[in-house]
Amino acid sequence: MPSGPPGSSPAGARDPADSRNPEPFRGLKAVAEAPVQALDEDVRLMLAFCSGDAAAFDALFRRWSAPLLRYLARMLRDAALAEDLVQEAFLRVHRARDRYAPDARFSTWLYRIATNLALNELRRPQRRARHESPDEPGGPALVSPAVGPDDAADARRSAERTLGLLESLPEKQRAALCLAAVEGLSYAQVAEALEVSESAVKALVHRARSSLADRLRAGAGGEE
Amino acid sequence: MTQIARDCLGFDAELSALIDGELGAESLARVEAHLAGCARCRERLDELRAVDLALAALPARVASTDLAARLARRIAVEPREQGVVAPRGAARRAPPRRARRIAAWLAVPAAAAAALVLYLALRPTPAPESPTLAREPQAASAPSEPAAPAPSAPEARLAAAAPRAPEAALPAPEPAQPAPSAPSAADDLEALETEELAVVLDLETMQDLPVIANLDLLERLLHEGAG
Repeated sequence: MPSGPPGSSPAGARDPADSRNPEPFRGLKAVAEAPVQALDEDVRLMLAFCSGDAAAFDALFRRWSAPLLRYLARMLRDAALAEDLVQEAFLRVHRARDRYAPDARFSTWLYRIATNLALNELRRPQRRARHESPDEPGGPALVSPAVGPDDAADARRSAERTLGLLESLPEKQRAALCLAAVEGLSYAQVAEALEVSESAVKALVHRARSSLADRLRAGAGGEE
Repeated sequence: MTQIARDCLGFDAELSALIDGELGAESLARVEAHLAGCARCRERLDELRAVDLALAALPARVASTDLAARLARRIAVEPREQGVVAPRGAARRAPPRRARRIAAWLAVPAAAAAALVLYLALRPTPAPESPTLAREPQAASAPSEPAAPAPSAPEARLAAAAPRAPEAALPAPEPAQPAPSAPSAADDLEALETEELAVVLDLETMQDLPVIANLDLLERLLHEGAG
């Protein structure tokens, strides 16, 4: 599966660097000139959907709903809201069927839609503060490899802490880090999803990772 | 905190790019050469990698079993764009905000007028039933059977999509499936969209307004009133 969603496998089981899209991003011009089917299976599916193949839309949903949900849940820390936005993102894909032009990877386009939805949500003045636990009902979670209750409790605490740290980042840093480090997008793709330059992405990812590294280290020091 | 040597300043960003596989050959060689002789930067690289490990260890969210079904329902009530708004492939521009506000004020009376037109046109024939979940070819009605949610085609298909059946299909999003033996009512409706409704409404603006779904309700109320 050369160009499948990066997150079809559990996040914990995957090295983000390995899951990077196999083909380097070649820029919009190159993408537009390349044969689309050879470029991106998702683009092929989207074009099939645009031509009336409803099953292609189903396939896109199956391929991308889980990665998108993971991304939005990290961004918003609210599983129910993340699901709503997944739904909204696919609704927009559906609405775009009459004017879709394959001028970028489908995944990049989808993440851009999702990012805009998430940023709008985060900027809503009346947004309710919500600090969701990883195991909160309404957002069923799979705690990865933990076995015993102690391990599970440790994993939950650790996940809560990581989510809290992530939430403390400025929203664009958070988005850039999640897209690059978890979703496996290249900096060029992240740049397109966030509508910023590639050098800005490099700085955003670096600041986010560096800041979390400092806080994780400080936290680890505090626990000892 | 570790004292950062002057040579190491600015290397953090390179280390982050290294983790993400974003360094070109030349930069990679330079960074690796530096790492070979700098314990501080190796330590920092480990700290940065720990962030990715922490993120990867977060539990995976599992979508609710009815997410596909909810999306299907949203799609089923989507106003149709094709054939009403613009030719296929034409970019749709959002009207200016002011135009949207005006359109919003006009929408309710306009919808009532449109409902009246629809009612008059459709009175002699029974309301068409939706044959499949494939979008009905209308802009002005939403699946709106109120009290008795009989296992209509949409519901049946949604039910099939809901329980975690990975192969369960979303609603056929594309329209166009002409009902095999559908009576003329749907055709009339289709014709009315462009010929009649477009006179009264700016449908491009209308398509984002949920009020359009009220046409069905108005039609039903009028029908009941007449009956």
